[in-house]
Amino acid sequence: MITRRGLLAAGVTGGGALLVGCGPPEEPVARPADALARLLALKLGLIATYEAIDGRDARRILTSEREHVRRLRSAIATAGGSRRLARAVAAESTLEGALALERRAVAAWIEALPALGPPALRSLAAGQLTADAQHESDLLALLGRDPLPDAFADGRPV
Amino acid sequence: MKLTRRGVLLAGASIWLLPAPARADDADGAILRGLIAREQCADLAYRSAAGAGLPFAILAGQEAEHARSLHTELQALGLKGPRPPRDEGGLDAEPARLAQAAAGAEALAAARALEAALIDAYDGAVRVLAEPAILRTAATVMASHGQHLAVLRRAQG
Repeated sequence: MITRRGLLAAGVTGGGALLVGCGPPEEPVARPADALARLLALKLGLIATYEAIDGRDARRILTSEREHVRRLRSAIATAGGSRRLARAVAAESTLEGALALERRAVAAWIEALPALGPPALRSLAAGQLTADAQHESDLLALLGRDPLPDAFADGRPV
Repeated sequence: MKLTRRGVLLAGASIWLLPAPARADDADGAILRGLIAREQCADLAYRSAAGAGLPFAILAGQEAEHARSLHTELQALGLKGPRPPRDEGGLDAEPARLAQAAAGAEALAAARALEAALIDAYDGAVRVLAEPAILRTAATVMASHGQHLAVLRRAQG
């Protein structure tokens, strides 16, 4: 039975909830398709970079990045993104340049994750983030540096 | 107070404005506890393993750092973390396999299996973690395990 007391309680609860809910502003959330498009631009730059570098490791990583691009394009289309080709980030031509781009990709994935709501999309992002971190480690080894410089792969040079 | 249809509808709708941060914290907290336990087991497994010529000491140290970082996130939620395993008897399947593996190829294969299992666990976590800061921390740790896997792959040749 609806009573005046019950309705007042519900109203007070709702009003109280409105006050409780007024906390610090939430983080600005980018559209998933926009976040993915930025990653696609980085990936296209990485592909052009690895195409310019000789060596078995570069060939292996190139294959991985091409698969990333294929899956990203599919995810962007599913998320309602533009079918217009993303403009690639400028390619590099050295291992050092490739390393810098891989680190940018790692950082961009970490930044984008909270904006990617669907679990499958988050899993795609986490998988590519992990692969890009592996590429970073491989490149460090090829450059004669410590392949495990830090316990947290966040894209920042150590 | 005059009872109106509009008043009834507004009062009922306002119930759905109740915040859900408490529920999200509980869920994130449970996920964090699970991940911390896995890192603690991995740390012990690497320290126990026959890792001559392999970077197991470095990997153990990084797993310990992962556990500490995740524990900090858990404490921020006002929750306590799990106790680390006292000995190999408290290890799950993959860490136990590493701890008991013979030196060389067997230890390397067990370590790769352990890192792959950790990556799977983090994949499950990042799918559902609610708090952005915790999600990002988990993602950087997952990526670190990817780097562990890369190093172990190169060690295998």
